[in-house]
Amino acid sequence: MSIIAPGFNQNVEQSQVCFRQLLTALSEPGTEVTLDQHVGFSPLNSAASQVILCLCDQLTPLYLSPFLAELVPGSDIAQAQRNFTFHCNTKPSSLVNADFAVISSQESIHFSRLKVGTDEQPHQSVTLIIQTDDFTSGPKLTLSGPGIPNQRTVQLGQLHPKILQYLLAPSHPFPLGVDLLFCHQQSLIAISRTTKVELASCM
Amino acid sequence: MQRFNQHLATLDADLGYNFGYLDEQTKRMIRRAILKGIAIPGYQVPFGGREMPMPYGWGTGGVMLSAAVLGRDDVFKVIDQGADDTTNAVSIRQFFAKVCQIDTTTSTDAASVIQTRHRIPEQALKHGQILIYQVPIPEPLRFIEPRETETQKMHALAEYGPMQVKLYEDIVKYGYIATSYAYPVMVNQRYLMDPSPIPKFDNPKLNQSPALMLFGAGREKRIYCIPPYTEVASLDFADHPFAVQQWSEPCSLCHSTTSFLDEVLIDDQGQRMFVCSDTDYCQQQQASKQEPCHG
Amino acid sequence: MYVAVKGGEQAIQAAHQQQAQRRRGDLNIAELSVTQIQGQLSLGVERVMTEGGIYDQELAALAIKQACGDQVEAIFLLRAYRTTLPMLFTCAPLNTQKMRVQRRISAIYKDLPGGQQLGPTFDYSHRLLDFSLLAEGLGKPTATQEADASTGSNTEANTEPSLQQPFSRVFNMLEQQQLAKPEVDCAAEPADISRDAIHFPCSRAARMQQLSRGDEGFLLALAYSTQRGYGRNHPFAGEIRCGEVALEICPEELGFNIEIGSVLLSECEMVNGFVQPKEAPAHFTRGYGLAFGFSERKAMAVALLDRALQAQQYDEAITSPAQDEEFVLAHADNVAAAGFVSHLKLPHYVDFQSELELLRKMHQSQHAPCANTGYPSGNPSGQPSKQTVTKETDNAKV
Repeated sequence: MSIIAPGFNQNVEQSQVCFRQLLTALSEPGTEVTLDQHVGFSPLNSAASQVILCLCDQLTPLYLSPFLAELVPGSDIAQAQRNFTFHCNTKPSSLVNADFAVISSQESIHFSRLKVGTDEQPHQSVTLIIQTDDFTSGPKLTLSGPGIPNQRTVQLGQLHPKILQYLLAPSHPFPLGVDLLFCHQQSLIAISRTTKVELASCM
Repeated sequence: MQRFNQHLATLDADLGYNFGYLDEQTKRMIRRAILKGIAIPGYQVPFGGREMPMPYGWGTGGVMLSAAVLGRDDVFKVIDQGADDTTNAVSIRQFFAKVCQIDTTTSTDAASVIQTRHRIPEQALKHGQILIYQVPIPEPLRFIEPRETETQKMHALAEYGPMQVKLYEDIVKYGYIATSYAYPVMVNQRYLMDPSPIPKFDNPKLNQSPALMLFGAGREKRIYCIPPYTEVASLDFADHPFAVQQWSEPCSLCHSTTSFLDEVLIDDQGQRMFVCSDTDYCQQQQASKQEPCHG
Repeated sequence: MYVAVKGGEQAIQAAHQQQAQRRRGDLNIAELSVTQIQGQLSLGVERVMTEGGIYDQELAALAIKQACGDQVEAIFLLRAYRTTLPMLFTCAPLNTQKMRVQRRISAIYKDLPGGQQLGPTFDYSHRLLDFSLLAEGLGKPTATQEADASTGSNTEANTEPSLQQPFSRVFNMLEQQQLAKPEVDCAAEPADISRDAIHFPCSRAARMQQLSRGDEGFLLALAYSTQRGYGRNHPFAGEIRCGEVALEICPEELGFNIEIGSVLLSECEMVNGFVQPKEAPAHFTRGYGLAFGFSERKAMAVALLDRALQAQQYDEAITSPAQDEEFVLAHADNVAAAGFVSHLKLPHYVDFQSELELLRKMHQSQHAPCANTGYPSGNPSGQPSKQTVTKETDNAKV
């Protein structure tokens, strides 16, 4: 059965509010921002759904990982895709071709197969939205780089070793790379490809 | 008849155009470009620039960025040459007051978003503020290599030797680096960037700024960004370090000795005086100096 | 005493008011109506539509009226309006073979199926000012109209309106004889330069769009340069045809094409110098041009440049401006060009001040300044020093 759930009810205003939160998040990696304009299309959480509602359209191939539905009983990934198609005109895509992709922090993915741009066009790369369980558990990570005065420390929940490994040692040299948006409920933390991530030394 | 009504509707800007003039799909495209620009500081992201109701070259890039960024709660300031009351600044401010019905200000301190042409305000910007630059020629290498296909490769390879050579040739020829505005910078030690035609006096304000900086070139269809707290270094040589402009006299109105001064001719004998280019700053300085007298 | 300039808002308002008065002109003379412009200045309207990127005579006529007849300004008005329009449908590819031809000429065959159709044109008019047009309001045909009807210098040309049956294309006939290579649809999604920035090297679709919207004067001059040896491509006007072409869309719920209207187009196909590839017989090459309305000068210029820009494809040496894709396409748009040139009128106090400061510093470091002249004391004549006048400005004043 296919039921379309409502999107933003004030599209112009709500898209702008979400965008400004994303602008803060990505320009200041490690900063937690709140996206509270929409409840989300299960199995996507609220923040992840709003990123797509705010930024995606027919020009941005969208991948939603089926693994997400396994974590939320009764949810259907195809149904979420239909909702985005209805509201934003998005087209479902494979992970390899996606401009926007939503996956779970528990999931193993091959970063080497993602769109990471080219030396001349590094912007043609995927924005990877990673749904995670909380921002209070998992390894403590120290961030530095543009947008971060000195250092910032974050936790991004329990991460699959492949995700953690990519954070600590990205397989693509800058300016190629993947921009990561970690989403939990209505909260979002971004890690830009410029962000240097290290395991915080145990005190 | 339907067309006539449509035209009538557009006469009323409140009803005829979307908030911020641009349609939502265009805003979305610009917003995606901004986010990529932030992820790759100093890199020029191509975007589908649109014709705007003001000419290319008159700030359309900045206007498109502002249209994609501004929301109902923003307080907007527009400056041209540092001044809020130059005709171009007035015109752009009126445009947004009309198509966004947002609050505008001349106070640097009170503004959440500032669109600028050719200056960075004297007053230090704050964390949370967004500075939007109008950019005529985004490519710092354009006057060394006019071809886009070539400059793209140079950026890909970080092949910036020709720029260093050009600056060095200036020194040989003139004794100085002969670039006094649009002075090239390296962003985050990777991308050579044109900071737009701001005087090099303003270049140090780019480095580790707490404010987010967005650059829009409408005609050339490029967006680039500097996140807050990012290293931005002006190119120079060990024996010819980067230095900013200095004046031998203070501002004639506020007596500031630290601001960028505009020269004003006051007669046809070449008599001239110097006044702050940043009108808001100058007025603040005048006010703060008058207070003790009146108080 | 110096007072900072204020009152920009009033100045802008006053400027608008004065311009409006100038536009209207003498109030004792009847106002020009949009319908009159649309009906009687049709070539102007058609150029504005072509470069403005909207096929709408009424809006183009309005733009011309509002712009006091300034074509570049009118084109800009139309473009700015265009960006606010939603894109509802993409039409099916136009079939110009089925054009309801009003004019069709070929310069390579004396006669051909369908014949030569002279149609409306200035081509054989003697460029004598027609003073009878000064006597306005007369219903009888003007001297020019009568003269053109009687001379008919091209005896082959059929001046009757065309039969409604479609004309074969000259190039199709050349293709049949293997004298030209058929153009094959590469099936790629065509670029849309109104939505995405052009990326060089660009596709032919992007090139044709940019040329069609490009400034007629600029393209004409560049096309002319190819005829004078700057990227010569040996053109013959294979065929020029003007007329209405049906516009069809295929709504998803119907599943077949329906006609929603028609557009008046000028199409030009140039037959250009031949090539002899290894895998195919020697054949002519071609350049293609298309424009709204009776705009054949534009269509011909586009066709010449389309061919000039195929230089790389045919392994021709790229030696001239007209063959240089980035040079031609990046500078063809008059909305962009007019904007950037006119922006020099905006204040540049700050950048100029920066240059002044540098120049004075250079004066000081070489000589002690002379208080009276402001020029270096080593130059008592008071003339600018050599250094001053030869200083290169390698930065655009932006």
